[in-house]
This record gives sequence, C-alpha cells and structure tokens, in this order.
Amino acid sequence: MNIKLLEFTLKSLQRHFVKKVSVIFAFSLLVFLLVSVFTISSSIKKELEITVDSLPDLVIQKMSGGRQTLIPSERVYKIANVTGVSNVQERIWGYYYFVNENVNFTVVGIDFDIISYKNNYNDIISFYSDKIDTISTPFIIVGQGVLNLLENNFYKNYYTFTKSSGGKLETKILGAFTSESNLETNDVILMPQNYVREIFDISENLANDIIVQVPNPNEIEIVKRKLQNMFPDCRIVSRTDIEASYQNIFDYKSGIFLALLISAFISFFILIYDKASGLSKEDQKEIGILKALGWLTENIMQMKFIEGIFISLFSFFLGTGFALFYVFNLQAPILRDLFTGASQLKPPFELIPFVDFNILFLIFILIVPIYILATIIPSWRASIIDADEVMR
Amino acid sequence: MIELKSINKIYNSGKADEHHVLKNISFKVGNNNFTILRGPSGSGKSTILSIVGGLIKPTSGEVFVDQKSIAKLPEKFSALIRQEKIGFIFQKFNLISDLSSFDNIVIPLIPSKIHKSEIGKRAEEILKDFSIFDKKNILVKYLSGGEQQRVAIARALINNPKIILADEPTTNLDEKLSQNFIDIIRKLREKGITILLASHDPLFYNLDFVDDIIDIHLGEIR
Repeated sequence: MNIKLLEFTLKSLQRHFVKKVSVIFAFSLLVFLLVSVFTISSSIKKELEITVDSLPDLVIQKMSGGRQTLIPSERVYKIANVTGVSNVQERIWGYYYFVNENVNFTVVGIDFDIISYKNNYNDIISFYSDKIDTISTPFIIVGQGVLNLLENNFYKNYYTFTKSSGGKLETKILGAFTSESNLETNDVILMPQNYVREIFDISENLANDIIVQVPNPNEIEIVKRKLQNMFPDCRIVSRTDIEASYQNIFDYKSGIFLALLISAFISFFILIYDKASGLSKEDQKEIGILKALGWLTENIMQMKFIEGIFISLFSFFLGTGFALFYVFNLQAPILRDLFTGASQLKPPFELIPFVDFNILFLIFILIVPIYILATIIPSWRASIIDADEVMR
Repeated sequence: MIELKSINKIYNSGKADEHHVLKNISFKVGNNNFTILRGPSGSGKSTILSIVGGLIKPTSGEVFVDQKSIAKLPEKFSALIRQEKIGFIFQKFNLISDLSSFDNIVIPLIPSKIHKSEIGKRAEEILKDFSIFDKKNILVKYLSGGEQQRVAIARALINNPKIILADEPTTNLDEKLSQNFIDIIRKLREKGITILLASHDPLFYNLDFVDDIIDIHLGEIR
C-alpha cells in the first residue's frame, strides 16, 4: 500500500466531502433500512422460535358450531392412557379486556401443585414461592408489559377484576416477571386457577383446552390421529401447525418488506450509477491532470478504490449503527408496528437484542462491492481516455 | 533529446468529420536546448507537446524522447517516462484548486517509490527557490495568478525532469508575470533542462537564449 496515495485519497475525500454527502446519505439510508428490517425480523423470529419452543406438543380444543368452546376436564384421564403421551394438563385461561388502555391481557390459571409444561412458568412460581406460600388472598404475577400498564393507571399493589358474572375480584399484585421472549409473556397475568375460573365463569369440570406432551417427535402425528379419533368433536393442533401459522404470517410480512427493500435497492443503485457515471467535468479534468503528471491508470484506480472503500465502509457502519440504535434503543417506531401489527400486540413488547451477523455480512457483501464497482468503472473509463482530451 | 519523425495526427480517421491535425512533422530538439513552437491558435502546437509527452499517440510516425521510441508504447510505459523525465507546464496551470501549494507540487511524485520525507524536502526547496515557501499550506485557489504560475512550474520541476514541456504558459499572464516566467525559463535552461515551449506570444521570439523556433501553420512546419 502506497501511504502517499492513501493520504492523497483522504485529502481528496475531504475536499469532495460535500459532493459525496448525498451518496453517503443514500447509502447509509439503504443500509439503515436493510439492517433495521432484517434486525427486527431476526429479533421477532427469535421471539417466535422461543415461543414455539415453549408450546405444548398438542393442544386439544373442543369445537362447537365451528368455534372453540370449553372442554370437559375428565377427558384428561382418557388422554393420559394413550400410548406415547407423557403429560396431560388442562388449561384455564382467558383474555381479559383492560378498558383503561384498550388492551387484552392473557390471564393464565396456574395449578401450583403440579409442574407446568412451560419451564418459564415453573421458574416464576419458584421465584415467588415464599410469597405464594404465605398469601391467602387472591394474587397475580404479571408480565412486565402488564405491570407498566397497571402502574400507568395507578394500580400499584392491587388490581380488581370484573368477573363475567359482574362481581368483583380484588387481587394483590405480587410482582412482575420477564422472560427471554417478550412476545410470549409480556401481556400475561398468572394467577391461581380457581380465581381464573371465577373471573371467566368456568366451572370446575371444564377447561379451556387440554395440552398434551409427547416426548418422541416421531409419535406426535400418530398420537394426534389417535386423539382425533377419540374426540371427533375436537380440533387437535400440533406445535408444527402453530409454527407454520406463525411462519406464514411472518413470511408474508417479510415478503412485503422484501418487495419494498428491492425498490429501495434499485433506487439506490440508480442514484449511485447516476452519480458515478456522471463524473463531473471537474473530476474528469482532475483525472486528466493526474495522468499528465505521470500517474498511471492503476494509480487512479487505486485512489478510486480506496475512496470507494472509505465511503462505503463509513456509510455501512453509519447506517448499521443508526439501525441498531433505532431498533434496540428506540424500539423501532413505525417499522415494528408494520411488522407486528400495532393493534395485535398490546401491551407493547420489547424487541430482544438479537443481531444476525450472517444477515449483516450478506448486506455488506451485496452493497459494498457493488458500490465500489459502480464508482470505479466510470473513473476507469475516464482514466483510459487520453489525458490530453480530458484536459482540453 | 527529442526527435519527431514524420508525425501525422488524424482525429476521427475515415469518418466524415476527419481532421488532419499534424501533417508530416519532423524536428529535433537537442540536449539542453530551448525550442519554441510558434504558430497561431489551432495550428497543432499543443498536439505536438501532447505527443512528445506521451499523452496522446500519433496516427503515424516516430517520437524519440531521450533516445526511447515512445510513439507506440503502452500507456503505462509512457506514463512512467512522463513521471521520470518530463515536467508539464500548462496553459491554465491546471492546478487542483482546493489543494495547498505543497500538495499540488508533490502530486507527480505520489505514485513514485520516493520516500515521503524526501518528497517533502524537495518540495520545500522548490517552494523556497520560487519564493512561495510562505504559501506552502495555502489552497492554490487563494493565490494570485503569479503565485499560481510559480506553483505550476514548481510542480513541473519536482521530479527533476530532463525535459520541460510548456503549453502557452503566458496566455493568462500580464506582462510583468510573463517576464517573471521568462526569467524562470532562463534559469532552467542554465540548469541544463531541455525546454520545448509552444506559444504565439511575441515576447519569446527575440530572447537571447532561444536555440530554435519552429513555425507551425495548419499542422505543418513551414
């Protein structure tokens, strides 16, 4: 590396900084958009993976008139006898409308006497076990998002539910929890099963659904078929079905973004091509002067190459830095809502800091070398013209 | 030092707008000579300088610079000859206006293998020789015409060239600055540098140190 050439190039960049600002801006903006979208997407995908991982292998929902209805709890015993099933639990839960914020909380009933199929619920119960053991009144343990919304409405220690029957149920807010996945737990309220039954008016012999664990993945489909035969009035949903459903929604939204990003890409390269191919008279003259003073075409190419590397790296890191700040510090306003659907995800969840370096590398490979080529080719064309012609 | 043999230069050869710029040009410039190419604008003087400097190739004929034939050399080799043996002084100086005097002067040596400190030393000596050392760090766009001219000449000399090619160097200068330029050329001549200068400025024609004047008219030597 010729240090003198490097220094000259840096001075040249400094001289032409104002001219390069629009390119740096467009470049950084594109990187910002790409990194933001892919980082949000990776982050949400990560959330979904965690959510899907914590799902039961099978969920049995009783259907009536095409809609889900309550299922008799006694079916648990029949299911437990099916070969391949390791664990069966009834679930008592419901969506509770919190009118002050126009959001739904997911109220989940916990049976403190059995181990939940969800490890994070077991962790939470274990964490609060001392308090739970000593309390005799109704209590709730809430997700961080729920806690924030309750506190915003001055519910610091207690919250009173309105039951389906119209009565009231005062509960003590025991504490809050977070988990690796915000999407899954942010809107969750955990409370003893019997109080959930009270709130949603679910009698003792009914449950919302029944979950089934099948340790051998190869047997899941077989067990699913068996259960379907046993309970023709039920819909049996496997984790794979839910995963596919999540994936479909996610891929659909990613597809829309991809289309938008391709448009952004094309606009960027039109701009770059325009900038690059339209070397100004001044630039051409400068190349002519350098050639007349004994510079070789390869020297000029080296200079343009270094210039391209500096501009593209600077813009790439600027765009990436802003994107990561935008996504993880500012929680990606606007873009995140477009991805997740603002109305569906209340209380708001926090994007988990997860950067897919493969994607970053892919973005780098896609745009940095192309930019360098797009700028170097016109300079090469100008530098192979006779210097005499360029300077006249 | 410089020899042109039967040089022809035709632009757009074989096309409707074919332009025969130089016709059968032959002349020699000896070592340490000061030769003037005289002729009106458009006569082909600048084209001859460009061919001698290897900036363009003749359509036919031979060019020797320091006994090396350069007419058919690949661009890379003619650039190297320029880098080592030739200094250019252009009509409009062709300085890079937003670089300092120092940075403009060192441009020819940037691609060379000469060490940065050596280049700095040379540049400072030349700046002193041309009494513009105090303008070392000033952008050339802020310099007066005379100062810019000296920077342009200093840049032409930084690579210790054997040959100086000057194209209408006084066109944009007033009489006093033109006289300064002539003094500088005289000194260069005394230092043993071969000078080929294209001009239609009468100031040059009666100088006592001119070795030869070649009259060019419509691309031909008269």
